[in-house]
Amino acid sequence: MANPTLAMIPSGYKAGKVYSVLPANGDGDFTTFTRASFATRLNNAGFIETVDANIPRLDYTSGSCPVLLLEEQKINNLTDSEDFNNWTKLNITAATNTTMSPSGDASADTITRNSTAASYVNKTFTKEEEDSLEMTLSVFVKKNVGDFFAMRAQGTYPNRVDSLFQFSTETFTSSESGNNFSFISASFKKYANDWYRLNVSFETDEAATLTTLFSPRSLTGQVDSTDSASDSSVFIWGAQCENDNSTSYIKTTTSAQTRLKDVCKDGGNSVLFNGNYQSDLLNPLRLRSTYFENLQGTTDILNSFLCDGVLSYGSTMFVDLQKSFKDRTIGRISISDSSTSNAVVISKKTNNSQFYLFITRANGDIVAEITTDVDYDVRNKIAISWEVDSFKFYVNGFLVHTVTSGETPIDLNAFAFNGSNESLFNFFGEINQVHYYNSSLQNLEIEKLTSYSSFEKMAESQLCNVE
Amino acid sequence: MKVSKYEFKDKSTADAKIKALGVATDEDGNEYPTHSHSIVKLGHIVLEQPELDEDGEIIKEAVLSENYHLDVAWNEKEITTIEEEAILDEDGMVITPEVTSIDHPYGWKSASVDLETNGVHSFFGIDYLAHKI
Repeated sequence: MANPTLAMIPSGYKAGKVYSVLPANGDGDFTTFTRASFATRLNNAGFIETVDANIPRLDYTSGSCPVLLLEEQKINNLTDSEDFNNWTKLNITAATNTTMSPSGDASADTITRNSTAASYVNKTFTKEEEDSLEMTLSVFVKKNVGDFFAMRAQGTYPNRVDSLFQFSTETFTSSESGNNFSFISASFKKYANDWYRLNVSFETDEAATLTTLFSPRSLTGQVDSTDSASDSSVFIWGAQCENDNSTSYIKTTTSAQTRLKDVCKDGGNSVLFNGNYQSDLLNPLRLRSTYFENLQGTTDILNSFLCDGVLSYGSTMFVDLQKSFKDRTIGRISISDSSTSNAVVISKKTNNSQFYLFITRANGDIVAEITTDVDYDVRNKIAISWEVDSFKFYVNGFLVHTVTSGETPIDLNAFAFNGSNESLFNFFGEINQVHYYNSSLQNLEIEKLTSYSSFEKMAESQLCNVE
Repeated sequence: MKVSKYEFKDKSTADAKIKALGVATDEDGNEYPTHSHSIVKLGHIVLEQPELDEDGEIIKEAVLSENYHLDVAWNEKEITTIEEEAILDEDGMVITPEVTSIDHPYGWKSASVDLETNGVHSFFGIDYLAHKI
């Protein structure tokens, strides 16, 4: 199989730049990476660390192979996310900085309740609008005394969602109360040193404010139920409440904090994407160019043949990505001429269940297109190959669409995680790798490229356990 | 980047100002911003936390601001005005650099709030006091 002309497998970066592993001379690097604010990532030591503005994030949450983490703007509405002594407390004590947190320093607190019915810490904030919103409450907890941890998100009492996590079984029990406040989902992620990040998603009522409550427990029950022990406690750190799905942790102190969006673009250049760049296919042509040695402008001649269709060489774009969170925007990954005129685009639909794959040429005319269903929250491997009169779209090992007529886009000059190397339609998700080949790979090659390397990998990607 | 804080009389007024910064409609029929500023809707911010009873029922309501609040991280390029063009010599070398000014977009200045602290919200790692207009 041909080597990629450009391969970005997240591994090297510096402020404002993401390196590609191919080509080795740096022509394929993504030379623009911006995020105006700080952000956090899980580093290769397994700790959550804060990174400065404009530093790309290679995140190791999914395992030993990092992903390029691209996230949208998000606000953590909960102030004092690591200092529960500053939360409102009822029949509960909060000892600060008692143990090592998921960030690797002694910043986690211990909250200890008594057996009284209502024993909890709580915090109230204003929602961005008095409307029903999908939100996620998350917090890092580690078992201490007692096997349970109770969480509540509450609008106008009694409208609320209660979730109870049991450490020993790693299971959630959730319930709704009141009206117009509904449970969506509950999940957890394990971190180093027996830490869990618990996530509870819900749809709020139309109250102006949202109150969040936490309580450790030795018995099943809710935050306001009596407990059998008078010293149930838990280690706690990193509370967060945000719109839509849970995203990377955003530390707060006395004020709510917003992490700004990641933008990554300007990958490659016009030479790399227009066929005369050390192509395996073109090497024979270069050899044959000796036949033209008596003619001036050999490259021009070859290019004229290519433009006239006497010769043709194709291209293939491949992306391997995952979205572990939904967003409400269109998100695109493209190779374009830095405009919408000529572009090869993988576009996430706002319904978060489909991708729209399309190719434009000339003044943005659609040459080929297909809308395809995908499973979110899993890895998706998508490839598009194009050459004159042959456009093929592959998703997860399957050829999903073919178009047999049309001219190819021209003057491509940039790989970008947005619509057309500008600032619109930024893609948010986790990037495992992207490739560009300046040849249209054969069907079997692309099927292999977009398939799983083993049955186990396929099962893992679909969140199945192989026993 | 410049950071500013605003308060409007209500959400609809704030939304109208945001829309005036530029929106377009995507292929799914949804509006999206055509500017590159970052806007955070804080709403009617909590001035005093509510008091809850043992069942979690509110016995004293939270005290909320009457006004609707926004924080904005402005893309500096898009709010910069060139007051005087640069003067170049015959070789294109700058003799006198251009003179620029930065200000709130039209209609926003009257709603701006000047704080001496970061207030109830900030952008992660960005000090409002060091970046305010």
